[in-house]
Amino acid sequence: MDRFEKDIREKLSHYEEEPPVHVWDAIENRLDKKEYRGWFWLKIAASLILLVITAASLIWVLPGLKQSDVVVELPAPEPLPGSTTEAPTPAAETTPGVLPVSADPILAFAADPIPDQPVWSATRAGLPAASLQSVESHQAPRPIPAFDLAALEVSMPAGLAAPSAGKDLLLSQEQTPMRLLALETSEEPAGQVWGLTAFLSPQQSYRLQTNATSIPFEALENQIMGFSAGLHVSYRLGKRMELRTGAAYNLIGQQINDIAAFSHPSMTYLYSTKGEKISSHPQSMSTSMGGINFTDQSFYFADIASTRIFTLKGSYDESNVNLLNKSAFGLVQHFGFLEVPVMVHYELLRSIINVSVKSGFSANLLVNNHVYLQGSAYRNPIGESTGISRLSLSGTGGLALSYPVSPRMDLSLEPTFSMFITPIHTQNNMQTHPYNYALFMGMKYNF
Amino acid sequence: MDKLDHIILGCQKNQRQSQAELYKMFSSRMYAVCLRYTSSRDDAQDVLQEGFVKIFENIANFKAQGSFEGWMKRIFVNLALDKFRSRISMLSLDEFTEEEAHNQPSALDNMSEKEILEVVRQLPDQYRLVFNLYVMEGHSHQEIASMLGISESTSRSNLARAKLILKNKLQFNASWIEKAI
Repeated sequence: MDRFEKDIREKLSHYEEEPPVHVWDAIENRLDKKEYRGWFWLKIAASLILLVITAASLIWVLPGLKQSDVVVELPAPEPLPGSTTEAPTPAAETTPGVLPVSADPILAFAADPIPDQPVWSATRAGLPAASLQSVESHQAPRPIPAFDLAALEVSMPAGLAAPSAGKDLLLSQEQTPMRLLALETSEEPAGQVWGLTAFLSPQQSYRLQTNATSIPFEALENQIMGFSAGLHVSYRLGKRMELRTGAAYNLIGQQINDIAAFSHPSMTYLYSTKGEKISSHPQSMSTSMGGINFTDQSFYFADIASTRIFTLKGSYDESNVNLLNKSAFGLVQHFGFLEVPVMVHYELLRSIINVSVKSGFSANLLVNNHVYLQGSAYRNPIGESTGISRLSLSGTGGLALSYPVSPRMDLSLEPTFSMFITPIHTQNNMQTHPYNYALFMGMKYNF
Repeated sequence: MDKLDHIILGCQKNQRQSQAELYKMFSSRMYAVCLRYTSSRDDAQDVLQEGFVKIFENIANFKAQGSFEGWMKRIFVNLALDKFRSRISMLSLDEFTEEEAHNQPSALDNMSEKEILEVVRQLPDQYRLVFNLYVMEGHSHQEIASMLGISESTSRSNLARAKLILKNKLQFNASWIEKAI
């Protein structure tokens, strides 16, 4: 090292300069965001717990669904005229409120004591009181419409034959006898094993990044609202289980923050510092969801928080670009997948609202890939993401609530969580797995 | 346990007050390092911000075997290199021998540290990086070549050219100052 080098080293090694105040503010802001993201797994756990609690509430808390509500004190009504009268069974005589009815005294119904909310129940008569079996209960403030009877599910103790279909059963509400005409509606309508569901689902879309890189993507990217829409075909495998498949378009992505956008006055080409037209965009960018290949020549970008943008030196005319309002713009990556799921729905509860859990896997084929420069009232496609897997596998789980609006049509609402099992982008050690919180809203036709 | 050890311990527990104290203690020195490696103040502030976030994230991994300040400085230098690494390969370089840079008079005595820093910062990116790595950090040309992905002869040539530019500019500034006085 010569004297000149030593002198410079001596002078500069003791130099200090106070940085501007906003640098610490930005650091603090970044640290706060990271702490917030540390809650990610806690949020996932909380979501799962919430799902379980919701399911449990629907099963156990909805009025009239517990077996203990079934048999209550009721004066026995007069037998219906026209019914084949037989002597009440011993069980019916010794169990107040259980009405021995119909030609075949297999079933009796009793009302729930909750005022204004009578609950109809079917129990098997002719057995000791202790072994009276609840068949199901059903809230019926008015005469039960025929299709509602689907909610009456007969579960008989082992060794006893199920009541045969087509028998007349008798219901009673405030001493007014009613006739339950079709027991067969309490089981699946014959032949309705197929279903066709059309659905639309808004979804909050983001990604999980395994292993950090030198660029802190976690602090520089945000989730976006995407959607999923499609058709599912279902096939009933048994009384409670249903297999589903189909096809859906699934839009996910993310927003990229802290980018300044410049527009070239000509809005046509960028120019090198030597005044030559640049035939391809001189910049590229890295994100946690692949790189960005800019195809629009009329914009130039600068990273105002990190080092995500690479620019070929001298390939833009810095003095000849205009800064757009950087706070009003962001880059948005969109990925459209054709999703083919295979899912199982298992019914936990069949009542006014049917409650099922669902779980399955999907194959996702990348069919749409765009990057937009997006403002509040402005969206301009500026390129596409690179390094994204064409085919990925995802897993799905959630709850499915369905309400029968007619004998063949069900309205469904399904809070769902899904996550890509295979990464859609891999860079060194970092892998990116998108995930979504979605609310499926659908209409199902049974046939 | 001295004050710095207490602060490091607090940072390892993610305590915001300790992080603020660490920043207060080192930010001016580290900002000077960032300024040396960058030509724009915005870039220097970016590197400073990035570096401190990285330090707070990784401070749990710091083993008290070496100098803490040295560890911090390496983080800032590496981040500054990352920022420019992609641009370096775009420079076309002329061969330039160090002999040409010898025998230039030094004008450093008449200039403040800040003035010298500003002249260093005006060097082209690659010259500035090589100059800093060689003169300020004490790396060999072999190490610099490996860090920047260039040849050893390019590193030598860059250093010589950087020194020539610096000497010319410093000479001009010094004579200008003398005339002004």
